[in-house]
Amino acid sequence: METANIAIVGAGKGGYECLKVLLTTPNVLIKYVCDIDPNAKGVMLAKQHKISYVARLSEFIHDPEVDLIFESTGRPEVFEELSRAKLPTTSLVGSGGTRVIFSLLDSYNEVNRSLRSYKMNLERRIIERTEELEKLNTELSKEKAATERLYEQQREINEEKSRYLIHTTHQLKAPFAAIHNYVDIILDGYAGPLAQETRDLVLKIKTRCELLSETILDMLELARLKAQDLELVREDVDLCAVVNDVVERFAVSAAAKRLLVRVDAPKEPLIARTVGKRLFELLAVLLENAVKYSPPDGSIEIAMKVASDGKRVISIMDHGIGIPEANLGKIFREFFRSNNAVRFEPNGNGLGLAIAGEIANLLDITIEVESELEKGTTFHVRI
Amino acid sequence: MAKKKIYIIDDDHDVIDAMTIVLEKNNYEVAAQYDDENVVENVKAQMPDVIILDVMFPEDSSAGFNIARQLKSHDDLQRIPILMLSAINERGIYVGRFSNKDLDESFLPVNLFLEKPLKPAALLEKVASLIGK
Ligand SMILES: Nc1ncnc2c1ncn2[C@@H]1O[C@H](COP(=O)(O)OP(=O)(O)OP(=O)(O)O)[C@@H](O)[C@H]1O
Ligand SMILES: [Mg+2]
Repeated sequence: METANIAIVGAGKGGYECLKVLLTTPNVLIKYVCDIDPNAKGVMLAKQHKISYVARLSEFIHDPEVDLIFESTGRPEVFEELSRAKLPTTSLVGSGGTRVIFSLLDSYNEVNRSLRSYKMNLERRIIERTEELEKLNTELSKEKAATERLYEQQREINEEKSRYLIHTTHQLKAPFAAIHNYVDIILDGYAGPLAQETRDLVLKIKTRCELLSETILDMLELARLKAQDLELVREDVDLCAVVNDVVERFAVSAAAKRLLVRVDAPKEPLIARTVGKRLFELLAVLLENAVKYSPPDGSIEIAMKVASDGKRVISIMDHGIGIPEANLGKIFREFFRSNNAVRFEPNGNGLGLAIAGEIANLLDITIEVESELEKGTTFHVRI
Repeated sequence: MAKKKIYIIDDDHDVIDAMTIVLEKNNYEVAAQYDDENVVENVKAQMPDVIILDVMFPEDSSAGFNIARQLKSHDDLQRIPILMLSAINERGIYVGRFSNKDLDESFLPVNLFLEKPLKPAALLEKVASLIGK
């Protein structure tokens, strides 16, 4: 848009307002402000803005650059004189028109101002937000680095712990095996005939020996799982076959309690990509518990299905002693045994589920448990 | 009939003593060594009917395997059966608390495995089966 050169005639109240609006209007150049009173309000403002002040019309009326004259004195004789004297290329707007135009201009400027300040606000907010984000980002990456460091340290500590545990259990095993040997030799009569009381006591030693060697093996197993000191080769595994192997593994102990183990398996093989041996171990822990914590003459149900998310789910349900709700969160801890379980079956070391949990961890398997005291327990294994 | 001779190689003297008690009571002659040194020479000197060998030695966790290979590579020794004591849970032979512990015997030149802790009856049965061969 071309710049319009403007002259304002009359610098009183009306002219002053005109001037103020025009000063903030884009594409406008105010060339002259004309008033006979050199101290008029508008004249002062014009001088501040280095606009030429003239006292008489004749001083600018012949300037061909003037495109537009705003008459704002409100006096008809001034308007008449202007319309007579002005060049034909110059337009003239009288007081009435001037007022209308200025109120329009004023609102236009107002809109512009709000737009501008809105835009500025927006820019400011964008800058602020960007700064905030950057700050957050640096904080985050600092935190991330710190977390990674912590994680690394923790990993080292854990590895150290596992190495230590593997080492100690190894060290425990040999002397322990030697004690066990001697106990067996005594019981087999190699040290001479045994009185019944002696035999009973040595048998107790033998039982504890067996439990302890189980504990040592479990601890070693757990330490190895934790140290990830094991080969994990994933293959396509038929879950039905694994479940059948596990059931077979506990057939004798289930039969001894006259427990019926029912397997509800799909007709076709149910394949999952996992480590068969480890899955066997995990399920064996669960079935062992189901058998162990069921009263005689009952049943255990094993169900297999594909969940809606595609995961394979194996559920092992028993109708045994159940787990007190308060203990549900603790059963995967090492050495934890619930009091009701200890009362029901004194033998156990509380490592079975810790091992199962560790295997689940390694194989991205989740184990969920539902249980009601004295009603039974169901473990869902999602693969 | 002359007594059959058993030669034991194990680093744990209590394990050796316990086996010796059982074997001697059952009419075997027992000799033993507590380390993994000069095994071939010692076995040559003894010429036992069965060798009982531990898998692990403190200085070298696979010493038992190496000894077995050495013995089996000597013409005059390779016919002597070896009974290897596998401390369970070692080097993946025992792979979990519920695995059925079936061993892949093809990868080692030994004739039979026996688990620690030893059961006297199992020891006698395995020794007898090796001598009967
Ligand atoms: N099927 C179940 N019914 C009732 N309680 C159970 C069942 N399974 C687990 N629990 C509870 O969880 C505890 C921990 O189980 P876990 O298998 O780890 O140890 P354990 O069976 O006591 O000993 P072990 O190490 O010999 O298996 C049990 O002591 C028992 O309180
Ligand atoms: Mg258990």
